[in-house]
Amino acid sequence: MTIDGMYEILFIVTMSLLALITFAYLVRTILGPHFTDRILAANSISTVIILIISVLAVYLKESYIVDVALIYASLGFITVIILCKSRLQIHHRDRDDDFKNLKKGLDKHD
Amino acid sequence: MIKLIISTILIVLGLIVVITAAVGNYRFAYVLNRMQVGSTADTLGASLVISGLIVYSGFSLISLKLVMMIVFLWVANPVASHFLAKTEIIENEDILDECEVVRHDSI
Amino acid sequence: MFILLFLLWVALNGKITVEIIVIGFVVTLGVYAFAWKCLDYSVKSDIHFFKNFFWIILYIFVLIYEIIKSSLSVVLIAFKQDIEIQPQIVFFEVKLKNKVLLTVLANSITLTPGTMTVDVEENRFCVHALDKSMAEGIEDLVFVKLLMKMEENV
Repeated sequence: MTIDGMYEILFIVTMSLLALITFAYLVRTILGPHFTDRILAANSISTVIILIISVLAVYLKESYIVDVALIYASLGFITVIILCKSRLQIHHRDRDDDFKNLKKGLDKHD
Repeated sequence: MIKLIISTILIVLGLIVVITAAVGNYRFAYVLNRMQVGSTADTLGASLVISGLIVYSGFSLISLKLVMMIVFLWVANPVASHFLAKTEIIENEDILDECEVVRHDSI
Repeated sequence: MFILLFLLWVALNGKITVEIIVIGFVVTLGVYAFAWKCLDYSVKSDIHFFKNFFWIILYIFVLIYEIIKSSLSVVLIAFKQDIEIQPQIVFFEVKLKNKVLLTVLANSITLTPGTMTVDVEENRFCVHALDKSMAEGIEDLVFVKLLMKMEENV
């Protein structure tokens, strides 16, 4: 077996394992009891997909595919930020996201 | 041949960390604890896999872009998980059932 | 900073021709002007960066070492038979004043598995820790000492 063939096996096994992990996170996204569970799983999915795209870029030896991964990374980041921000704005307008209010909120439960 | 061994070790270690994060996602019960394991995957797992790919592709344009990728992940992911944690703490009414609060400050 | 931006442009393009260099020069100049006007950037911060170069490199290595060390403990916790953890939320203060360094500190606390910054206001931190053992000694972290040294240089 040549070295290139071994690399091919390595990359394909890596990609398929990462794809399986993506499905595991997808189930968590559907099950997740809270809102934050779902967002967390979606964020992890984006990380795993970035890894898949990077491995694919190296496997095909095309450097422009890494750009796709970079843009995917920034999209995932912006998704998380905007979803959390809008959630806080819509449902918790009374509790301002201020540090002192956070402390007060924690004290209230005592 | 040495390159193959090094990159295989790095990629397999990274895969182990990523799989651990996926398993931990099911084993931990509460979101903030899950997030800790998830951040492990984001930082260590992703950068291990990507550095394995860098070792394979040597000094080229692809590896330069992959280094940029690691830097981006390390800058952006903490911000995302910080925001998520803040949302959870503001949203959850029974946070004190899950974790205790310790004060070391003067207020 | 100008050189760095220009190199980024060339790296994203992937090849060097005359058009790319000319357009890249114009675009880089625009971004540089934007950073100067809106992002509080000046030549001073570049000089500070080179003054602190040794500490920054040391900081990156310490960060990687800490990440690997605490990742191992988190992985071990995740594979235990019965998970017994006591999550904590810790409030504490640090003596740093520089805003950039505070941001760096918050980000490195979040990057280290096991601890996560929930909120920061000026120099007060709110940190969630996965276990009691990880919350111990969070006030005098290695990062804080290194960043204090960097602040003295500024």
